[in-house]
Amino acid sequence: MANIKCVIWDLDNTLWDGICLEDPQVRLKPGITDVLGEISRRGIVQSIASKNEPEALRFVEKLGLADYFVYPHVNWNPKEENIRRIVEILNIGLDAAAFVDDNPFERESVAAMLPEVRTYDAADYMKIIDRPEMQLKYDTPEARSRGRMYVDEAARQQQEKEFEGRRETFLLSLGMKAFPCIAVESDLGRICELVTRTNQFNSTGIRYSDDEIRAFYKSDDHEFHIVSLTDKYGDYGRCGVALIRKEPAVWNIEILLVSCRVAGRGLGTAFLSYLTGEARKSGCTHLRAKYIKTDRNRQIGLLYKIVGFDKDREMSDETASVFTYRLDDGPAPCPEWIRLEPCADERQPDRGPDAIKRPRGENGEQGNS
Amino acid sequence: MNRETVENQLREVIAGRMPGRPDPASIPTDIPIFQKGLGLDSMSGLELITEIEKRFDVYIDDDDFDIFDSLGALIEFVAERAKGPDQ
Repeated sequence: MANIKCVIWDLDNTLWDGICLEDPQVRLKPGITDVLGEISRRGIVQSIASKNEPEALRFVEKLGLADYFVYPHVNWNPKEENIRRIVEILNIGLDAAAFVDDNPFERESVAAMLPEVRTYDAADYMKIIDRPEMQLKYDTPEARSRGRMYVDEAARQQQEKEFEGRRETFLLSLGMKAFPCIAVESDLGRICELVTRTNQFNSTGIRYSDDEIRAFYKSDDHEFHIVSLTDKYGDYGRCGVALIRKEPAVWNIEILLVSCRVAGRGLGTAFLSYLTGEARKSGCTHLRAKYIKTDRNRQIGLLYKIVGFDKDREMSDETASVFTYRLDDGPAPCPEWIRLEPCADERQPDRGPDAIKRPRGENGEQGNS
Repeated sequence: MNRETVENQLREVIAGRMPGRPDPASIPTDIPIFQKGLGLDSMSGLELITEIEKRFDVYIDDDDFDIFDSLGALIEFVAERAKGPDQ
């Protein structure tokens, strides 16, 4: 069962006792602020779906809760419609959303229309944070800051909407910098997280276990490369990983993952530009990439094609395709709006060898990262 | 949908995504659509594939990606599979 990435709350009789537009003196449920705070600290986004007049949002502000929520939907539309919208804005799966409401009709209606969404009775609000699907699987800075990143993303999207002109010009205005490099031990936690969570930009869909990832890291003929991204709105953190298996004259990309939080920015292309460059520098003639089609990752197969890889029909079979890039053509081009920067050296000693932290070891999390 | 309609629509769809927005009729049919060819990048590529699938009601599998090696091949592929009102 997928972990929860967004909790969507009702307002009246859920966050507070009473109906705010009838009783301006409504009081918060005892302990609700602690619950909201803990959920936010876990990097889980929170939003609102309430059948109410929009002015009900004033109470969220007045009661000091405004900072916990993004994209509140307060209107008279069916809740399932609002939930669907919120999930779309956040670019997450319905199975990564939970809905809290005191009204059994609303919960049942959402459960019927959107069966993937988890529904919680508001009466149990103190126990929400104990649920297994609410635990952090990998305690990485990226996981803890996921909520903030969605807010950064909202600002970007707003600017993009208002931007008149070519998309390239908009992307250039973001001042994106990518920092690719060979992964170090302190990156392993984030690598495990990306392997577990990435669906759409996942070249094979193989969910390597933490132990397998550690074994690859220690193996002499394998190397993880990792890429971080920043732009003028903030830091996306480490959001791309490639596992390289080295052969004489050939590097093989065993798996390529790009977090969907940076989808549509060209980071995959920039990362492949870096990898083709590195493989070339090390004397390779070809860079090969394994691609296993899943029901959600076709875009990464297309990415290989676009960047200049060609399907090697002899090496491909029914289960896996192999795409090959000929390095004598030079490295693949990087999008003009992303600057490839050398990785800062200070990142290596800083984080120490505390590689894979699993605070409340739960299993089975999947979804977009 | 006949071949000419497919070709005209594909030319428009691609021209709209090319740097400099050239005249659709001027796009050569024998060079790759992406990168060094007609200059479409990966994001335009994703949009392109989605739009082609929606507009012509076709599905482009990863086995078919070679159709992006030229506009000619793409027209051929779509014309063969496209379902349209006049069929």
